[in-house]
Amino acid sequence: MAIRNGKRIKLARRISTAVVFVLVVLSLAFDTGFGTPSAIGVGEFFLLCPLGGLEAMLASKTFLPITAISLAIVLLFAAIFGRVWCAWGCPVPSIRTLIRGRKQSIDIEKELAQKGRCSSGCSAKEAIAAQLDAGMEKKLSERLFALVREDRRMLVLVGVLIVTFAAGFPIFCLVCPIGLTFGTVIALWHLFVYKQVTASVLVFPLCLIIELIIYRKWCTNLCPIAALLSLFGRLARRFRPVVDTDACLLYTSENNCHACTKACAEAINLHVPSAAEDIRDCTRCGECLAACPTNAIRIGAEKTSTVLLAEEGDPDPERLS
Amino acid sequence: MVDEEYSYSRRAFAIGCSALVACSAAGFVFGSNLSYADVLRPPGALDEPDFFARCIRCYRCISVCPTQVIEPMRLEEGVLDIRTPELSFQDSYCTYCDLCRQVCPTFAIGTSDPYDISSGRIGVAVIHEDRCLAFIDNSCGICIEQCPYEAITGDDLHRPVIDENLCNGCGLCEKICPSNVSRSYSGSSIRGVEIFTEKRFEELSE
Repeated sequence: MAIRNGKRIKLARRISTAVVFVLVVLSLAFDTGFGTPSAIGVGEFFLLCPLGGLEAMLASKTFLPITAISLAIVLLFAAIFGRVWCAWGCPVPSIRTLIRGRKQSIDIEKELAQKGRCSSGCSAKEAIAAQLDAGMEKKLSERLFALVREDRRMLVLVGVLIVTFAAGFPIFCLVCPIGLTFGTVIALWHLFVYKQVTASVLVFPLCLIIELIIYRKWCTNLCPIAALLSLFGRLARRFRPVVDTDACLLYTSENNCHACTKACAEAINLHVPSAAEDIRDCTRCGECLAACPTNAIRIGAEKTSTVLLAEEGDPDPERLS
Repeated sequence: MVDEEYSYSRRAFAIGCSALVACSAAGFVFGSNLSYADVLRPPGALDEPDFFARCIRCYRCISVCPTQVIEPMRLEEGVLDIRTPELSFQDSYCTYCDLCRQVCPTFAIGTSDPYDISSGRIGVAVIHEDRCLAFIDNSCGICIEQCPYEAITGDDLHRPVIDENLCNGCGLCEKICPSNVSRSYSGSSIRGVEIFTEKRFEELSE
């Protein structure tokens, strides 16, 4: 069983993001205590923001067993489904789409060049050859080094945790766009229902505009929650987009098609072997499936060791010649 | 080519490391200069530094409260405390139902017994004699009759007197106090009776 229809994934994604909003509002209207995605649940059972939970424990210098169990469940979820939250639950991508339209916010050529990978200028064959030369087997220290070098979010994550520990309170929660979004919803609710007049109603959206609309690269450059999820997302072997090299234009024709990479918010190039590593950042948003002109990409429940699958299984540069 | 790239990133790595050291130093200086807010937290809330360390501003206590007495703190009351829970008795009061403790994901709220003031009460009621109608013209006394914990008694002139050893700060008296309810243009909405935090109450008694 595999899904090839990107439009259906996008629709399902929109619905699931809307459900989160509806839950928050229902919770306010009927005192059900679902909370917000920072900690969402029923009664004493809850799932909480992994970063928030870590921050609370670091800041208070206390080990909270039940908080830790909830944290473990959330991170286990990330280890199975990757950064699925970022596309299916987080309100940030929807806000950006609402206000900025569907504009590509990343300079794809620059992004690819920075990663030292194949830009659409070089051929898939060259890229694969270069990567095979460089060798995929790396030492642990090199991999850690690469992790920080390629992903500034990791630095932000470490920085946030250190500052939180030293300052003694969850500092990222102050500026977290997820918190600010639902903070705006709740501030509006309290303004209209309980007549609580506060500047928060104006300042929260203003902060969101600065973080998401003016800065634009929050998710890909800064978000420590994304960093934390992608740390565990690298373990997620299922539900990843897989390129069928028998249908992909890049492999079957002279066409240098990179439609999927350009559609990807994380600029993951699925055509090169290093995708197996880059895929830790995959949010399962389905944009690549929707963008592929030949429907060559699918997301299935089966385990995949690499994201690039030919008929035989492994990518074979010889096929290109 | 490869070497160049690596030397560049080594430099970046060194910059990153020093940034992290700077981060921890900044965090430490910031943390040791924090001035904690003195506000009415939910009943049983940990001491302010602990509470402040654990609250991740998830709004669960605010959304579960059946009397809507818990409100998110406003920007005006402090930038750092923004979105943390605070009790406001203008329209509601606390029933000590314990739900906020149950839903808190980081256990920032502990148990509390409304009949045992040492178990973490919200605050203490204080009569403002210049605003209380019983003190002004002897016309009221509604709080004396309504207090669920019999912490308010009337003196010879039927003026309310708070027993600080029985009052747990549930805020019912402040909610029902008729004094100053509509006088919003007077520049203050403080009523004839107000719940003080423990700290503010101590300062008052000194």
